Amino acid sequence: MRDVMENISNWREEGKQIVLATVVKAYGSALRPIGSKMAISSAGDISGSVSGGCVESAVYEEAQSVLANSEPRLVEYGIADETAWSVGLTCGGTIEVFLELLD
Amino acid sequence: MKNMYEILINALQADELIAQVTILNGSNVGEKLLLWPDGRKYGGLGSEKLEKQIIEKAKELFQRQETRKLEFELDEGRISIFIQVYPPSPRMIVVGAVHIAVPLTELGKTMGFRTIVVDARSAFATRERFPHVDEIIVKWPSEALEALHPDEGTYVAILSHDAKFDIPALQVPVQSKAKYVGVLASKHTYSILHEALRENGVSEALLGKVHTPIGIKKLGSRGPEGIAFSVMAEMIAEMRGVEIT
Repeated sequence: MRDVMENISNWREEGKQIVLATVVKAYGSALRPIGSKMAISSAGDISGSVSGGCVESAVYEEAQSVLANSEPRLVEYGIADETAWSVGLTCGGTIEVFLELLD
Repeated sequence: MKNMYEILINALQADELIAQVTILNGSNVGEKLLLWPDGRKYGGLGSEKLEKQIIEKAKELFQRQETRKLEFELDEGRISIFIQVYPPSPRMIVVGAVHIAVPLTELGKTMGFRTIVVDARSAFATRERFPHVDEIIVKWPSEALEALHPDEGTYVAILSHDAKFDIPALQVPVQSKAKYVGVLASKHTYSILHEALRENGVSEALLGKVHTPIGIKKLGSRGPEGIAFSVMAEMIAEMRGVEIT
């Protein structure tokens, strides 16, 4: 959280809406520990990360739906997952990410 | 009413130990609760019973400073809860506002440390030289270190390279609970410090934990930036409990 909070504060001051994505479970060789955060603003800004770089674009896409309907969601990315393959989860791990709109 | 996110951020900036609980599914998905180790709380999960169970569980997690996703059995079914414990940042205290202190505190910042520079010489310990550090203390190092109370989350690098500062400065952290104490000194210079501290009654056992010559020599990195890098690596190894021979 510490790595994204400065950006989030700035975006809030600029009146942007923010989706916060949190790694809530990590199996295998996941690169980022649970609790890691990625923030996405309604203007398309990104801060932080949830993996070594392989699922960030999928999380960014998912965040667009959260911005659209304000509903939190729990998403799993892993080697058995079609979406994850398509974005290239090369690390061989599986992660669960919780996305929510920041109040 | 203050926003929960802002309360969390204020707690993190004050380096408080705090936990945030989030419901991950079910009808109350997204509901949150903030918990402090002293029993204070903020927000709610919409179920008194669930909160009680979680507060019990959080006590353990606070103890271990551990973040976890847990499953709870409720009347309406099974739900997933995420309890994120935010431990206070580790502290890097650098004694001596010397050249190495600049890249070392920059690396410390990058690695998530709260960084503090201590030097009695106000000409060196300036904001201009250390724009990135959290705190600059212009004081006699031993006094400053005493006031900082080094604990299990504290990493001290003594870099002043001057016996009149280093002897009293080293005496404080070496007798504290500091996780890491390193001294920049050649073998010969360090033997003088070692002898002085022994005469002051510091035990061999305590002196044995001092990292000197400072840094991981094996890396072979040189120059102020290279040494800073090897000191940072040595601190991380100590944090993770990795033995470097």
